Amino acid sequence: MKEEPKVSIIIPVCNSKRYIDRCLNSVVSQSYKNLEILVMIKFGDDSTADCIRWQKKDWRITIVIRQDTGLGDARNYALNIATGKYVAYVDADDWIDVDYVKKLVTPLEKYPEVDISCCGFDRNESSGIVSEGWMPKCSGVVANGRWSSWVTVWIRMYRSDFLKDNDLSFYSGSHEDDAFYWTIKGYVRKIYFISEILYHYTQDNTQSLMHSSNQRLLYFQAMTYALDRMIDRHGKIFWKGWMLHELMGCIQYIIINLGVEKDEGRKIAGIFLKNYFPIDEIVLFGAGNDARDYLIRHYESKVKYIVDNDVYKCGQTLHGVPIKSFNELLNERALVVIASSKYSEEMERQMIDIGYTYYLTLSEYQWVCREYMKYI
Amino acid sequence: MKSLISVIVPVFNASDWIDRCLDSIVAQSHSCTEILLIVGNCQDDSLEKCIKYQNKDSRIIVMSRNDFGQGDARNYGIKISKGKYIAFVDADDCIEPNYLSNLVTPLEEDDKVDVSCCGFDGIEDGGAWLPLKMGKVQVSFNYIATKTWPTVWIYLYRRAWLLEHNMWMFPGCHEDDAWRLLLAAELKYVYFVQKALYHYNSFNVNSTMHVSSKRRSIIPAMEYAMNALTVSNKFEKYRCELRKYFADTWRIQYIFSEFDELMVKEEESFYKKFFPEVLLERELVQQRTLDLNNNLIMFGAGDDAHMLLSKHYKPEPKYIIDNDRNKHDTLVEGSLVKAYENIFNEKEPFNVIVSSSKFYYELTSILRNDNITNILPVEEYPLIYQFWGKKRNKRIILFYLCESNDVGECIIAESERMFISNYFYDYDLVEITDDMFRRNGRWLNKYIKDTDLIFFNAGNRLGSLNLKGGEIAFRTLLKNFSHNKIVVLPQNMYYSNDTFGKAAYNEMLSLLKKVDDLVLCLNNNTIYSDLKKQKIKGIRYIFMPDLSMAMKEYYAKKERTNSIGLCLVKGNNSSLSVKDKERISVLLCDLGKNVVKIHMTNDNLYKRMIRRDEQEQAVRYKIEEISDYEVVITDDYYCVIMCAISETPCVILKTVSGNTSGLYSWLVNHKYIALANNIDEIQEKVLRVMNVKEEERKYKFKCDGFLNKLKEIIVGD
Repeated sequence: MKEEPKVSIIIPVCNSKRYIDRCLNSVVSQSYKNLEILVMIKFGDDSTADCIRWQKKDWRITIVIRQDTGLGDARNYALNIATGKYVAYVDADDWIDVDYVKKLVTPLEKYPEVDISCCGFDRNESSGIVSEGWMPKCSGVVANGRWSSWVTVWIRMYRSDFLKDNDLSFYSGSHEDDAFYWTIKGYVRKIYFISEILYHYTQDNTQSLMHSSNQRLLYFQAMTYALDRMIDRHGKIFWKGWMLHELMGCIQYIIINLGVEKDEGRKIAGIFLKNYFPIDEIVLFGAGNDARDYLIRHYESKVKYIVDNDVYKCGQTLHGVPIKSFNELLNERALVVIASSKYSEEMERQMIDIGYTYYLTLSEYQWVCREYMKYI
Repeated sequence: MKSLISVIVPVFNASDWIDRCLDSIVAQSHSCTEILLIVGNCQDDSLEKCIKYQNKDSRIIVMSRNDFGQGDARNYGIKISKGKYIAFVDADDCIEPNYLSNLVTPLEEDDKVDVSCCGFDGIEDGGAWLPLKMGKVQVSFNYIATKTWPTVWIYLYRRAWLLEHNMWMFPGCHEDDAWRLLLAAELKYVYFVQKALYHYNSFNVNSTMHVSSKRRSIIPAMEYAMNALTVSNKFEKYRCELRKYFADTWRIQYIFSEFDELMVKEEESFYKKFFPEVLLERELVQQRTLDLNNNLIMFGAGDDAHMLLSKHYKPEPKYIIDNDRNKHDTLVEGSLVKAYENIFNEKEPFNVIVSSSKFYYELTSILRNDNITNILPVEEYPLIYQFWGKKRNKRIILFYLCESNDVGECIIAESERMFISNYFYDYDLVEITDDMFRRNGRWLNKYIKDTDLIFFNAGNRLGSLNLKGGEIAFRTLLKNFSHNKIVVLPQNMYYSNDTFGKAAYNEMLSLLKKVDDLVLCLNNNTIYSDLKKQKIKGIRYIFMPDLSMAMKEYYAKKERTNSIGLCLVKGNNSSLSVKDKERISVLLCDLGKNVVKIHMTNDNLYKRMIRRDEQEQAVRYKIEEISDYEVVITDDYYCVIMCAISETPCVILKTVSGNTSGLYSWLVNHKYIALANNIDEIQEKVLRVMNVKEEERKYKFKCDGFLNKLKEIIVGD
């Protein structure tokens, strides 16, 4: 029988005396046995003694006590010293299902090109109320990298070579989890989703997200770090439209959670987006009715030209905008907006075929403009 | 900018010492460090202390994990450290403030040097080691493997170098011995700093009990090292050196081999795996028939020949043969070197002694190809020297004269020689040292006739506390020479009261029952009456004091100084804990006198072991030194004897084995000697013995009666 590969579970502890027993209990009683449990404690933490007590019971636990500077830093340190083939992060407030590791390891073992496996989670309030978290809609490999998930570090298991070889370390400031999520997005080859709730998140630790404009600034700093890393790796051409879409979803979630000054927040977000995603100039794909409707109502955007598969339309104009052949896109860098609700799927595939992924559908694009661009 | 150094400290049950250790690391003059405390599964509060200490210094990182010994912990440290350089410090030791800065400077200045090395000394006892060379040195395999100390913490390593050469420690015990071999094979340049910058603590028994098994074999560690060398293609390159290294360091094996069958099997499988020629040759040597009256021809005119002939000038070889043409017709210590072919012209029978420990197996295979089988290994030469020319019918074989740097051993040897020359002057005396016994044990029974009288002395080192030393040697002796008459010179035997001690006692009893004729002299009443009760056939017991108590003429009277001498047994043999020792020092200082430590291992005079011809001198020096003091406090057996015969006031401390209290019972009527039952009594007893009048300080013990009786019993029938 093949030996179970070692899995490193990294648990950064941050004044979680209330929950640490529940967390460690769920980790040490995993059905998957070959674990290395790295408990990262900040010096002076109130749960130090509890962790040591657990270690005496189970020597798969390694305790590291440092006077470190933050969660991201602790996780980076842990990743450096982790010896497992796979790495998973669990927060000390939360707990995991007894089969968490086993179920997440299986696809990684089965598919060598899958870098990450990912499951769902639910929210647990201390009052006992369990509410919905997030769950992948179905199980399986997502091949082309077009995936989105909840922005956390924990519901996933990572191939540790994937993290180490690509130097995917955590951002050392706050919002390190967002930055991490966006950093790995640029590197991951394939991801495997498991449509099951295996992770249990404790909701009431609200101080982790602070309601202040300073925090909002910090969020965008973290995101800047992540997106800069992506550009370092792929250059601007890497931008994918649906990534922009997802990013905006996240930003919206942040802005809602950050409180009342929505307009102000959206302005910051808009500027941030503009820095990374050139969306001022667009190219419309499809010269049909949808394009016409758009051009009539939204003349404020600068549409460079329109491309269409219909050769007879080439050379003509639509509302004063020239129509060109699809091949024109081969030299293009601007955002392509797919202006056809009827054939959008086929057209998307056509874009992917030529390797041009910086596109949005028209409705997505309109949503972006509505939510952010008008506040700038 | 200073480079980062990672200081890796494996912590295991070191609660008493960890603070001192960390103080010394935190206070380093090279401040750019990362301090990794890798805590194992401790039974004490080491981990809590480490965590508490973190408060003082943010550079400390505490890791608590389950490890398989210090080697494993250090490997982990190497893996996770971030520094450019790596230093190892053990949690029970401490370092000088300039330890890191002194060691890092040469590495910073010279890229070719990957490792720097300093000396160390013991915190509590006088043991120390300093590098023999200084500065940047190009080192050979042999130099590292034999001339340095097998530890990991006297070095500072370049981390990249460790990783590049795939240097990982053995995760188990004896990892330091294995590590030294790896270093020896990989190192090219070392920068030596001739200062004792590391302070070593030999008292923490817990730290060495990492793997809690009684039998801690070195074989797995060595197999690990050999495999690692094979992987790095260094094994064949250093094959001869490695073989010699094992032959030299595993002399002890013979004695073990008789009793620990597992050990024999392990050793044999090790040799079979890596050096099959050793086993083959061992068998062939066992089978040979040797006549010592034959001519002796020496094969090999190298350093070994020089050393052998200058140390043991008899029997002289007829000539030396060597394959090196340049050496032909030259003289080595008075013997002529000839070509190998001369051996075929020999008419008379001859023995060949192969005088090269490094190429022994290569040379013997040449000889065996030419059908020459009367081969003597190089280590047999001292044995031949001892037996050479001693052809009288009456022979005494004196066993276990230990050659060490302990003056106690010298006084045993001297007193035995005196006894034998006074009472057995018509006998030939063959002295077989511990070393010779171990090297030649396998074929020793071919030298000893059944009529030979065997004398044995273990220097009071019999019993369950000395299972690796005297006890095992005695067992081997009883087993191999049960038909000889064996005389055990006055000894103490102590078997501890646990299961381990009882097992050893029963083992000894069963061996004693098989012996034909044994005279057992015991100096301790407890074991004497105990053994006598057993009523074993063929054994005669004598209750008598040590032979060394008869050495009166050594005493040299002179003026005494006004200070107190303190002579305590060092290291793990000591019955006193570190705290006890500290308390004794404090108590003595309270008396307002200068307290000077006396070492029975005379490090100043004889750092190396004391040779046979220096032993008398060493005893004289030591007695002179002891008689300098106004009063001596000691728990060392032979120190007491030296005090008694030099008429120096002396306070004896009790030991676990009861040897000093047994000795005291012979000296009760000497007022200048007192026994302190516990540490609190010391002050009172010191004052009492100091005030004994000069005329009452007379050594009046008479040994002659006992010695005569012993002779009568030995020669009587």
